[in-house]
Amino acid sequence: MKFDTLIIGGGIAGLSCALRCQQQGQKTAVLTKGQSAMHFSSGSIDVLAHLPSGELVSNPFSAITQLTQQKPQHPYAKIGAEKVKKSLHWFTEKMAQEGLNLISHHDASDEDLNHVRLTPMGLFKATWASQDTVYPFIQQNPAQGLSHITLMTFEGFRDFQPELASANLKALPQFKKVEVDCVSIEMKEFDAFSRNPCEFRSIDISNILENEEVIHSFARYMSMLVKKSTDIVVLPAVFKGKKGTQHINLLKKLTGLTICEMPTTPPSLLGIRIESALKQLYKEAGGYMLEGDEVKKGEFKEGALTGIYTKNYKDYPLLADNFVLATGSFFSHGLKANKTDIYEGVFDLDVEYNTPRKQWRADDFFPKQGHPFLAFGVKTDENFRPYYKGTLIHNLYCAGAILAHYHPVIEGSGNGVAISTGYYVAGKIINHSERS
Amino acid sequence: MNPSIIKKKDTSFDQCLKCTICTVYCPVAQVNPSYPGPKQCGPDGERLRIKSPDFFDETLKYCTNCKRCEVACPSGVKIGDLIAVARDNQGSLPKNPKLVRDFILSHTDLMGSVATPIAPIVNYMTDLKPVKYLMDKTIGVSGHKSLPKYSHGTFVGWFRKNKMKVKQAAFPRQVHYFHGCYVNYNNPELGKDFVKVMNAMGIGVQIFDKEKCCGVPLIASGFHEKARKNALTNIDNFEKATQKLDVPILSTSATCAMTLQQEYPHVLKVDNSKVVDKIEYITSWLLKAFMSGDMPKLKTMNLKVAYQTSCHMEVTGNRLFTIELMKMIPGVKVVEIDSQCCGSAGTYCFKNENYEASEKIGAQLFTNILDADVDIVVTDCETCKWQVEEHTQMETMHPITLLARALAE
Amino acid sequence: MVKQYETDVAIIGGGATGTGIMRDCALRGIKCILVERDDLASGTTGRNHGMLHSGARYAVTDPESAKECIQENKTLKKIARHCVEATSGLFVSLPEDDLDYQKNFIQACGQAGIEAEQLTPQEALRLEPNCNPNLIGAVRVPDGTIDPFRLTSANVLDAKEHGATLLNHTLVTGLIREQDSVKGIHCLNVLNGQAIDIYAKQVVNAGGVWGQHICEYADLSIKMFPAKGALLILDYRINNLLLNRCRKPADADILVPGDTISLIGTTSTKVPLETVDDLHVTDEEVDLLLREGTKLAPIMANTRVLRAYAGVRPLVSVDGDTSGRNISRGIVLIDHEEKDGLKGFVTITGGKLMTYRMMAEWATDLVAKKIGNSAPCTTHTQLLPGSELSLGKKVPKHTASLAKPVYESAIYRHGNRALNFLKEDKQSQAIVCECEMVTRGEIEYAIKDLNVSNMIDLRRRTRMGMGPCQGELCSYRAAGLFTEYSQRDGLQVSKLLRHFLEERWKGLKPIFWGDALSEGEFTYWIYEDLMGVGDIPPYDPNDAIKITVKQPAAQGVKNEI
Repeated sequence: MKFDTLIIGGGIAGLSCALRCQQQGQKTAVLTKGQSAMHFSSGSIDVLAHLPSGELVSNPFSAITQLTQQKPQHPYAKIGAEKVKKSLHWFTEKMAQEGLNLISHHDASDEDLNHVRLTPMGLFKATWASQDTVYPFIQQNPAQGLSHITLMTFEGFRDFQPELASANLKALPQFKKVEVDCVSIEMKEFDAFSRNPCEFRSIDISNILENEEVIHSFARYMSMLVKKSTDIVVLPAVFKGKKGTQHINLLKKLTGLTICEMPTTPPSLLGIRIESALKQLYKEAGGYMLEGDEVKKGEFKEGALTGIYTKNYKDYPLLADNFVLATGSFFSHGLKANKTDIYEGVFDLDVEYNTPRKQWRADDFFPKQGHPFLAFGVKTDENFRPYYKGTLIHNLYCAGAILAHYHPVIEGSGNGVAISTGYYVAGKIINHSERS
Repeated sequence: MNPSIIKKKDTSFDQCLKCTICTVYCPVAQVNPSYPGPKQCGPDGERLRIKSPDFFDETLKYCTNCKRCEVACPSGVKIGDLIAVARDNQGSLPKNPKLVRDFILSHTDLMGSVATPIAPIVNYMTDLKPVKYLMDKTIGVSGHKSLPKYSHGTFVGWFRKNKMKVKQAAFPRQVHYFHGCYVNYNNPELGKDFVKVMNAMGIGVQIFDKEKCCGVPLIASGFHEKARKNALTNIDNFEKATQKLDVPILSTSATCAMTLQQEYPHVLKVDNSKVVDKIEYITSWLLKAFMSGDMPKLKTMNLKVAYQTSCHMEVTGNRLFTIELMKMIPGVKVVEIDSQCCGSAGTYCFKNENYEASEKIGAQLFTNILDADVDIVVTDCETCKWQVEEHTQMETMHPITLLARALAE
Repeated sequence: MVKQYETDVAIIGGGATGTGIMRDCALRGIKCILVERDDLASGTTGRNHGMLHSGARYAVTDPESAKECIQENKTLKKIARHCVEATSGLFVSLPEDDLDYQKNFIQACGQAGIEAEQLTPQEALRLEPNCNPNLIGAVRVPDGTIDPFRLTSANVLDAKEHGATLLNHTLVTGLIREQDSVKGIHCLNVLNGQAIDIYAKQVVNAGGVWGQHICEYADLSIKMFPAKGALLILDYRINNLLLNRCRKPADADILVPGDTISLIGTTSTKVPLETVDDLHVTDEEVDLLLREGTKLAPIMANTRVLRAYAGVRPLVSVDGDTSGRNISRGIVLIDHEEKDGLKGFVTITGGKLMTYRMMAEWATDLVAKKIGNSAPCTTHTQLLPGSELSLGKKVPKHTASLAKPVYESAIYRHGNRALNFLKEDKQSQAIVCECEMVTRGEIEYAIKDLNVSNMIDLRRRTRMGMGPCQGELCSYRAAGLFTEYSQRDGLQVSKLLRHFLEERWKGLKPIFWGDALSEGEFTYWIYEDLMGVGDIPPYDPNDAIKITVKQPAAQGVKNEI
């Protein structure tokens, strides 16, 4: 089977790239080994929260100039601030088409400023855009305009611990005057599942909440338990998909309360919502999703990748003019580490990393500079094309966490790099195809 | 030439990162609170079961073996296989009348041979309300379900009566056909459609001297030893047949193909390496042939078709072939319904303890199909076909049947 | 200001020996208080192979030790049933090993009273399929495994139920002396800075390697020559029988199954006493363990490594010999009244985990005599709490709502005492640690009844966080429960959460590649990116005492491995 572009990796980078290519008229397919890292993500789009020097960032796009000075090899430096901004706006537009509104601020003031999101520990993390069911706290003063916050959980739900969140929240100087209370809801509709000692995760609660009648029941309980004076009710993210967003809005309407969805430990329904929206757009555009498959071998000829052989399709190669490698970091098996070396998991492309092994990680678990291994990745040229034993593969492009020279956690740039590199690389492919 | 038993154990549970993704995609976990879920039954449970068989949990039987957990797993853990093998090693058969039901539902060769000669009577009886009620109350066959109808006469019977072996051998090219139980005992028409399509391409169809049920319903109900015996017989036959005539072994059943290729070595530990590369699901083989120009003349069909991806077509990736194949039929527009389990899971839905869950699992699929506003539904799996027909009242057929109808005169 | 206690015997050290003495005293009606600077089994006791020796390993080189072992082996299998697994073990001869040694070995076992059965390679492989298939011979012996955390916890439980008191997280800061007598000990609760004086008729120093500091308080000198041993924990039980090499004992030649995992050990490196609280497993040690372990079970080459850890052997010089040549691993019981003219003070050190009960008996005999108690020792016949299962496993059937693996895991860990927390209510059945099946009820029980003050203590009592994910999935959940069941507030518990994750990290660092790296990356994303735990101030165990104690505590409880 032949495609114009074949994307290996179905995470946010791969799907963004695939969507752009497909919508520009290409015949594309996305091949993915399993579900993506979006299943553990916060569901917010982080572009740049801190510069490598540690400075807190307020406008992630204008900070790219400083970033480029500090880290000239950073993916944002290669793309340039304008194009990074363009790609992120493209992304939010696409999500809006699927009913997923990503916002930076409530009052639509400068949409390019960071806000902060509340974490399950009651702390704040800077990010650029969150889903509109997540409350965008103001970066400079998260407590601005708030006098009372309610943290709500479900009886027996292990993955949100409001007491911990409340303690840390109240300890922040800005929240000294803000009342924070914790509330736990118990509804008989959850009984059957909470009896199962193994499953009562966010996904299980979301299945029960798919029923609109249950939402009405939930609204009644909420109204009873939550004080009228509360400004925000923080709920763990337990609403699935598009319908989930609709149900939150229904809940808001029925109770008159402002609801803030908060991501908790996996599975992340906020992240899954983004992935579902991307996949839906991609499929509607005619793209092929080849899920649960794995590349076994690539066929190279004169510095180009001509085809791939996979676990499912065995000796029947999938051919394409262009390929994109967006296979992610270590937990997605894009990058692998044996006792002595770091290597790229599909084609054994050239990787940039430190040696010896001790240099892969810091001594503390929460180091100020982050762990070095998160900045390892495939060596690429200015167009994000990789090398195999020094030879440039000119029709293979890399996007997302497989890239080197950026630190997604410390910088707060994970999704931003994924989306912008996916978009940028799609642009390169489209231009190249149009020319030839 | 006896196929060997594989000694090596699957240790893929070692790679599990506890990401919980599998629990999101398991159709059973979504609807059945008694099922501990793929993570707990698979990789988590395996570490404990290695310690002692006391840690085996009977609720593993609620797994439908749909393999959607494996499709979703980013770490390569063979969750479905782990559960199936655990049931083989440490599970036990029910010590109550349900054993009778499980035996009947899973020993398809035996039941098929007995029922097909008197199919009209059997079919009539199993549809009677009081009979259904009795079966529900005694042996646990869900009274809500209609048992599949038997054909009056088997596919093999038809093949032999019409002296097909000789007739087919006259064609310039040949293939071996693993017909499976569904074609043989329930729907020989599909087998005939297959022969029709092959013949239109100048290819003759041969059947095996002795074909046994692939074993998947036996595995599902815990009769692993019998399944293994069937597997050894089948592989032995495949080896002998391909030695005499080295041509592909094709199957029209999505699940049979998956079982012969993957379940044999992974779950039953039967070494099929000598023949595994020759076994192929029909649309996979056909698409490759069509794309190289080797295709029969097709007429324009002008049909809007909804395609339902069966679970085993998802895990093998074969769905791509069926979809592309249908697109090659002039006038056919394919609407891909969101891939999800229909809830039938083979013999699973007929067991009354599973009925409610199976209904809930498939509910969204049937809505999606009806909303798609199509002419017919196509699916590769026979039990998906029964399930979709029952819940949407829409004509549902195998892609080969569609292709057979599309053959130009 | 200073809290005062009065008792018969004060025991220093919450390892196997100390807790064994605590129990023995209590069962004889002797009032006692045990003081432990960190937590039960946080020292050598919690950092070894967890082997229930048959003694076979010592049969050839140290027959006395061997005899002691087999005796205690049989006793522990009886009294500590839920802490012990009678897996049996194989002494395997590989092609490079001398079969003559096997002959010697079998003979020596016989002489020591250890059942040794010679097996053919095929028989051995049938018993242990993952054993190296190239073996040329094997001997089966009654080795087993013992869980030191369960063991110490059960001893303490029994002691407490007979009137004893446990003060963990309590540091000994000096001895209370009056001329030629020790009258008690000065202590400091490191959690709240509370100064404590315990007046006791006899003080027993069971501080293991740290016992040297205790003796220094009394201006006595016993020289410890700590020997560090590194071990690796594997993801799952790759062997169900212990695998030993049938040759002179050397590095990394024991592969031990233990609950859900297997471990390979160990090495031997002399280390200075000052470093014993800050041990690191080196790359060379990791390589050696993997290399030698794979010889015992080739599947180890493809098995995920969960963590690396190290412990120190309490090797002590017997008679003031500072050269280190005359060091024994045998049991050393010093009556300081006799040896040094210092009344009321006794040191017990050396030995190994599985002879703890015997060591405890000797030490208790000594102090009992001194205080005039003549009750007989019953620790070899009295069952430990949890092991009170009658023969034939007549435990209550699990209920339909409690999944079998959950129920079995609880019984496996706590024996019949699991019934304290195995209840009908769905809340207590919720699983918190999914790798090891630790429920909310078990955590509540541990926090309320088993002297748990932080999440590392909790891990020791329940196995929470000891599975493949090393706390990724359960740490946050367990931290939340901590605020509910303990006296600690959310801010303190947040620090404990960070502390726990840092402790888990220490074991990952030396083996940080492959799945360990992937898991570590995943955990880091969840706890740093999603949660922001890096913004929580680090937990300093000496937080409370920094305010009250000016000089650096003799051995502040620094972060261990």
